[in-house]
Amino acid sequence: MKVLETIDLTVSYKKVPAVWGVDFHVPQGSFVGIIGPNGSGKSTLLKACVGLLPLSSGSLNYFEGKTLKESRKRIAYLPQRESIDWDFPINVLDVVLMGCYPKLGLFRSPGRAETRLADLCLDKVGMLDFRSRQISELSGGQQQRVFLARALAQQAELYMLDEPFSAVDAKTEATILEVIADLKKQGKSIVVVHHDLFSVAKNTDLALLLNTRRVNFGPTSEMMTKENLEETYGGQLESFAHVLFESAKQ
Amino acid sequence: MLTQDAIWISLSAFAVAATCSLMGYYLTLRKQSLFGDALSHSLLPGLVLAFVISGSIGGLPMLIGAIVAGLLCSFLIEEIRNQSHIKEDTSMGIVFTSMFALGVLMLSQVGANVHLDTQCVLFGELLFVPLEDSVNVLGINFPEPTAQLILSFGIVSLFCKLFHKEFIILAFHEGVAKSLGLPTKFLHYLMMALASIAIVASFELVGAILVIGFLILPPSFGKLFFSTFKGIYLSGLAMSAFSIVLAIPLSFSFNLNPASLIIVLQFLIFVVVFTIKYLSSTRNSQNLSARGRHHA
Amino acid sequence: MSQYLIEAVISCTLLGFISGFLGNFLVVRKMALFGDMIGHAVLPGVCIGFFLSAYEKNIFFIFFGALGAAFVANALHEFLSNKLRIKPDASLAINLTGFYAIGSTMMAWLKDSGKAGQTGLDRYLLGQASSISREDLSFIAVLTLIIVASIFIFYKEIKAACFDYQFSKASGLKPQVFLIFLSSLIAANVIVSLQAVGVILACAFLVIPAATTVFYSQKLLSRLFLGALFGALAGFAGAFFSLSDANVPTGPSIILVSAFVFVLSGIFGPENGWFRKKLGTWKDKRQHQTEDFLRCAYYFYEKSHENKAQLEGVFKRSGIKNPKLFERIRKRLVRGKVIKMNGEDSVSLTDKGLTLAADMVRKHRLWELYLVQMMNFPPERVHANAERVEHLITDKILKEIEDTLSNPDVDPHGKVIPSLNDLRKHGVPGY
Repeated sequence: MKVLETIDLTVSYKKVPAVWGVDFHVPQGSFVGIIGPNGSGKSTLLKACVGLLPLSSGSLNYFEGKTLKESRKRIAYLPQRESIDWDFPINVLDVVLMGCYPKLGLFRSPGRAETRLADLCLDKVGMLDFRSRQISELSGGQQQRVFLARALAQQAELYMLDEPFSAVDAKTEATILEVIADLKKQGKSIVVVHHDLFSVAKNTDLALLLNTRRVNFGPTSEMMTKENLEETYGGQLESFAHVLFESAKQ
Repeated sequence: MLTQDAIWISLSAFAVAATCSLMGYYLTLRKQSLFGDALSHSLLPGLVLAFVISGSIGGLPMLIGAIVAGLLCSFLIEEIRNQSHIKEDTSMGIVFTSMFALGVLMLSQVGANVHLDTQCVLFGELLFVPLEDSVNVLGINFPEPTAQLILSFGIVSLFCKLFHKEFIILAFHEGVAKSLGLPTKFLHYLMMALASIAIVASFELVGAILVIGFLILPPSFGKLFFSTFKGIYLSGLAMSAFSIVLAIPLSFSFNLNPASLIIVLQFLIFVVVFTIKYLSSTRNSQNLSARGRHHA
Repeated sequence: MSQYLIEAVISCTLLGFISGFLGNFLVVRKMALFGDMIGHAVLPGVCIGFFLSAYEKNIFFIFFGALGAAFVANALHEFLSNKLRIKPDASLAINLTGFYAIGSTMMAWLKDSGKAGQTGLDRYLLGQASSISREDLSFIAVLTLIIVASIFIFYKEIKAACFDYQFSKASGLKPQVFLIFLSSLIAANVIVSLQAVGVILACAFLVIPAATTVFYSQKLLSRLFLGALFGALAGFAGAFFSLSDANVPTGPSIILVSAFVFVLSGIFGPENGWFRKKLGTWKDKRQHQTEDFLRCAYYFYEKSHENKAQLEGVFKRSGIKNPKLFERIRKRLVRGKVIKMNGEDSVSLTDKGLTLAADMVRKHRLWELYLVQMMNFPPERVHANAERVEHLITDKILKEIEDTLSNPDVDPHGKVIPSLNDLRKHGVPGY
């Protein structure tokens, strides 16, 4: 089953098209990486998929033909870290509990079951000891893990993570990869916007190479060719393309 | 309609615009437009204190009182921000309102009779300019507030000429300014002091709250059309002049407060011009994107 | 006090309650200056309401007139900001002054037409508690209930919308709806406060009590209650003062009370209050002095195997420059029963002192060992570093270091790390 499918998707950001005519899909249980240079529209694409940005043209559907509105409860989105005010008076547990809000609906408050779930998710990312800490006291990697725990608490089927690995320590990176692997085992699907080619080459099943338009999409091993990478990164990686291509083969 | 009075009133208003929009240019560049609001409110206790000590309105004591209050306001805003987790907007909201409240309290105790009453503070007395004591300069009898205003303009523009480059860099990015070795704290406080001078000189004429209109509206208008300092400043001034020339006679005819009317006109002109510009730019980009879709 | 004055005070107290309550959302979303704009922008609305109610100060007309003005100002602000190179701060300032100018022009015209009366509209500028009627009080009371109830019913959605808009939107929690709802509540709050604090200071009433809560709690829910408390206090005291002196308008009175509470809280508040911070630093310093002294005394104990150390020697080793300070520390330690005087010029460690000292020495030496073995520091350089770090090592960190180093016996300088067994062997109590 295709848990997400985009057809000829075009998204404009402040009246300038950020992505043109993108076709790709996410089969159930797969780990898809979206890569491309800065400004290639990776985040914009993800935002459009979860309804944060309007589509200029094209379409997308979830879980074999359902709309975003119908599928919201089955999707978890992890935004980039910059949009948060870290001085907000809130602790780690409360952040994770927010993941339960959509399923609770309008008039119910988080109760014991939700707290147990939140603790479980915190434990999965190794942040259970920090549950009462204010988020302002956490390091970048710790904050990222807490937000991942929140996404887990949503108990979704499709996880869309925007640059979860940016500026985090090695331990956090390992934890995130573990969590993703665990999700895959449970049959969930994961889409990650990532900047690290080696990591994408090593861990993902499918890769979408993006440079405003879709350069290519398919099984990762087939995507990591010299031609594809050069076309995606333009002149930026000419000198490294050969090295990358070689190591991506491995 | 008393033509000579009207001329003095218009000239004074224009002097307010010239002085305030100059400082307003730098403030809007630094995205600190509301600092102007904060400063103008916070000057009040300084002015009242100066009045109590010196016994007179206007002149050097007022100027000193204003600068001290303005610097105190800036200092407190920074200190609160540094010593606690309170953000700049909240810090501003705390400091200037408290200082203004203090000023009003002081005013109410000093005496409801005096020249410096709440009405005057809030609305200014542009209408009464010609009735002020006058100073004789070069053979012409300038009303005192006007003369002070022109003098303030001289001081402010002199410093701005000297420090223009530094102010621009500071506005662009404080980190960059620091790394270039600029004394950012000094420049910041200098700017606040100059803004305080501009504001206090205008205070008596247009009141505490309307002064922000003279600070922010002309440069914002100028920014719609130009990117250079000269372009922005001069076009803003032109807009002000136009508003003044329209507003003064209207205020006479309908017996309205001239300062308020000038701001109302500037505001309306700004909104209308902005809307026109926005609609025309949308139309352009719509044409472009329609063309784009055909190609793709 | 007369009935109507009591009502005025109650009104102001209630207004303080809701302003301090709601204001937290402004503070937490960094929208204090937005509140400033709304405060000023409602003036034309107030005038229109006044006009429409045939100059009889019908609170419903004034309320909805002001609400309308607030919405228009907000819409205009959204339209202007971030487009065509006009930044949000400029947009706020433009709207603030533009609407206020329109309002003050209207006010002058209304006053001039003679029907509004000299003080009719003036009270909306700086507030006049004595003009608050029973009708106003009922209105305020109803609004209080609405505000508190709706915030509690929708608390989690509002909190999520304020904290993480993108997450909320993507998860279908509809933050747009709740933020508009919140802004409406805030606008309503501003409008009802006008009679108490006036247009110019309306923003302050929302900001200052809420900001004060920063020094007491890091939980939003607690801050809501505390803000309400501080606001109510300011409203009560401010109204009281203002009603006792005809010359003092209510607005400044209330705001000054809240500012006073803010300053006091900033100094003495439990969370990041200046005084608490200094106290903490001072306490830490004393603790470090104690620990240093004991550690130095312990060296002599170790060297001579006698529980006796010459003061002179301890002083030299401690690195404290000021002999008077050293004296004060010694006296304090004697008082605290950590050391005993052995005649005029030497000290012995009491049982309590020995435990503490051995603990410090252990931490010091283990840290030195850690630096040398795991971080490749040269042994000659580790002492100074360890002197500072030893005070910061908690039991948990100590355990980790011990595990990493596999419980060693000797430090880089060859001295015995007093192990748990050693300390027991030597009969040091507590081990």
